[in-house]
Amino acid sequence: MSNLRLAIPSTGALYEDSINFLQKKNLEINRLNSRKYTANIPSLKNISVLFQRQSDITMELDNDSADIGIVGLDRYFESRLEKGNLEIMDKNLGFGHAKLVIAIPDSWIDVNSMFDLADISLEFRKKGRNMRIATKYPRLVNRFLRTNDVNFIDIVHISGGLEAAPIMGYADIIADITATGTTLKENDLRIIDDGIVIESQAVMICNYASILIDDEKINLFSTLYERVTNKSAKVFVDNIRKYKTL
Amino acid sequence: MKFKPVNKIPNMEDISSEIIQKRDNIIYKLGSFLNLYGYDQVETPIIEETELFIRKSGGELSNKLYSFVEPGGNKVSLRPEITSGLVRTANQKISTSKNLRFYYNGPVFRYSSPEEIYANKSRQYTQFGAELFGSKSIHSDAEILSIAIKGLKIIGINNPKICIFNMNIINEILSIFNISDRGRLFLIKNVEDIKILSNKEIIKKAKSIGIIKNNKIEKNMTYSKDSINGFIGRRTKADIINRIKLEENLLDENRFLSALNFVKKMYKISGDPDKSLSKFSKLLDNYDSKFKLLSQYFIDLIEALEMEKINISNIILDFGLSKSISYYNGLIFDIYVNSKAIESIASGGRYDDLNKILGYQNNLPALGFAYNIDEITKLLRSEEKKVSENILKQTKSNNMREIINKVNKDRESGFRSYVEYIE
Repeated sequence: MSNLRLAIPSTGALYEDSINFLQKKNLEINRLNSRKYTANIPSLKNISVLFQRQSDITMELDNDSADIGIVGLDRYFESRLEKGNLEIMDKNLGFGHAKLVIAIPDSWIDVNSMFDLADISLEFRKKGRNMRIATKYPRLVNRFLRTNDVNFIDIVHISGGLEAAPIMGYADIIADITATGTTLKENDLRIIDDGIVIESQAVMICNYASILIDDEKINLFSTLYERVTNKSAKVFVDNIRKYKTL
Repeated sequence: MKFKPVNKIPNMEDISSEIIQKRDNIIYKLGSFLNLYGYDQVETPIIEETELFIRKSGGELSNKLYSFVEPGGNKVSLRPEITSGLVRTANQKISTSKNLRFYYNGPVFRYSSPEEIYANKSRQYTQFGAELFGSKSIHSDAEILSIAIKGLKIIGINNPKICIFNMNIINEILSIFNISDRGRLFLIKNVEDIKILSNKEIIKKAKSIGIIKNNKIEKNMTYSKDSINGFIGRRTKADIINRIKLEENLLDENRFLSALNFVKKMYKISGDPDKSLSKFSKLLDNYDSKFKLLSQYFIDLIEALEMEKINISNIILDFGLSKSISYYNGLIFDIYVNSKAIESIASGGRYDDLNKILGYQNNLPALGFAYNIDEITKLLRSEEKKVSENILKQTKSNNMREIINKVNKDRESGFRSYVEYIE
């Protein structure tokens, strides 16, 4: 049989928290050294742990390069394929809390709501340009802005520190992940009251098509599911069987 | 390497030959019919700069666009409609003729997110439409509406329900109440809610999006340029101060309420033109007599439609038809296959301002309509056409030369004929 492949973030807070979380669930990871990108779980045989960039994990699952993953809900919604084969196993892992928010220059004292921001995009438009927003979440942010009637925008892709983008002149406003808002404040930015794109935390996801491939894999998955969620796997497995036949 | 088969992307359909035949037959009949009215067929690109569609819809279509960066680096979208491309064509040709008449057909693409009511519908549609550029005459209104109605008859839809209205009416009437553009747009955009929800609920909604003053959170706005500190980006201090001043002039609740009460009554007026107009006149009793003139448009239109021999009894004058798309400025209409249908099979209207919205300097009066061809194709039964065909089966024993000769002869005499080969 093939191993069950579990993808977890390779760096950052989400890496540490994922390792600790799994340890608490009696799934301690045995990583030989920190440069190695694979590991195993001695207490549960036939599981390969793959350390991957958090932003890639959803896509790796969609591409069938992993079966299960730990990822932020924000990243999951940003990257997953519409009508793909992914499903959330546990939406409440209890760590990785963060919000994706719209932040504007603090000096824009006339802007307090998304409605105001829609007005500002029109103000830019009247001067013959679009309001530019820097973000690493183009899909979620685009959808959020459009549903709030903020229509005249250009999304700017920046991989580095977003908070500096307005001061550096790359963008007018940003949409970024924040836990406390401190970094935003230090860069003279302010969160719009109703500008919360998504409240996120770590979730565990799976590619159900790749799990339902044979009974051994389903059994292994069920064991892992039960250790993580403390619930019987039967209902979940029955459900994903139904999705697969749809 | 093992590849899985590649599936269709969500909400895109393969179309069977039966449907293609039916559809193309409809399109052919409509095209021939339009030709009699002097309309020429034109085609515009399926991919255009995204900016074109954003300008046209005032952003309203922007969350439905399939946008991407093409290999040359341009930001482009699959067209969600065809009119805006046609306006460009019209501008190139308008100097040669006073009136321009075009018809078109082809695929348009609109993304619908899985949460929407149209979530399960195909995201590729076929539109067939016609546009008339360069005339403001009431007869051009009657011409477009007549073509839309008579075209349906040509393809076998005989008793459609036709709802008409004129956007000038709502625009002019709302000017009595002296409310902001934003307030006006709100009242036009929320027709359905206004008809069914209580005033209290509507006012709550208007407050939540900053159309009327919300006294509770109103701050003492005594800002000056000096109170704006720090980094400001591409906006200016004047931009910010101006907006704050505008906020101070927000509508008060009473002014909004009187407009709301009026449109609430008006939106409910719907029925045969005579009755609707008399109800509308009564509603206007307490207002300036000049608004009585607004009814004249419909009287003239009905007369012009009668000249076109249109059966007026199918026409419903619907004061609640207001469309939120901001560029309509005169006649608007929706056509349904019968009085019970919910989804329209054709819609259109006048959009004299679109030329300027798209960036052209000249005035170019324009109006047009489009049929939802996919919906119409579904509604119509296939014409029973028995196709006689010969299928010749190759066997190990028979002579292939003879078979090929036979099918070729069949084809020459106009029969459909083909061979089933064996390996």
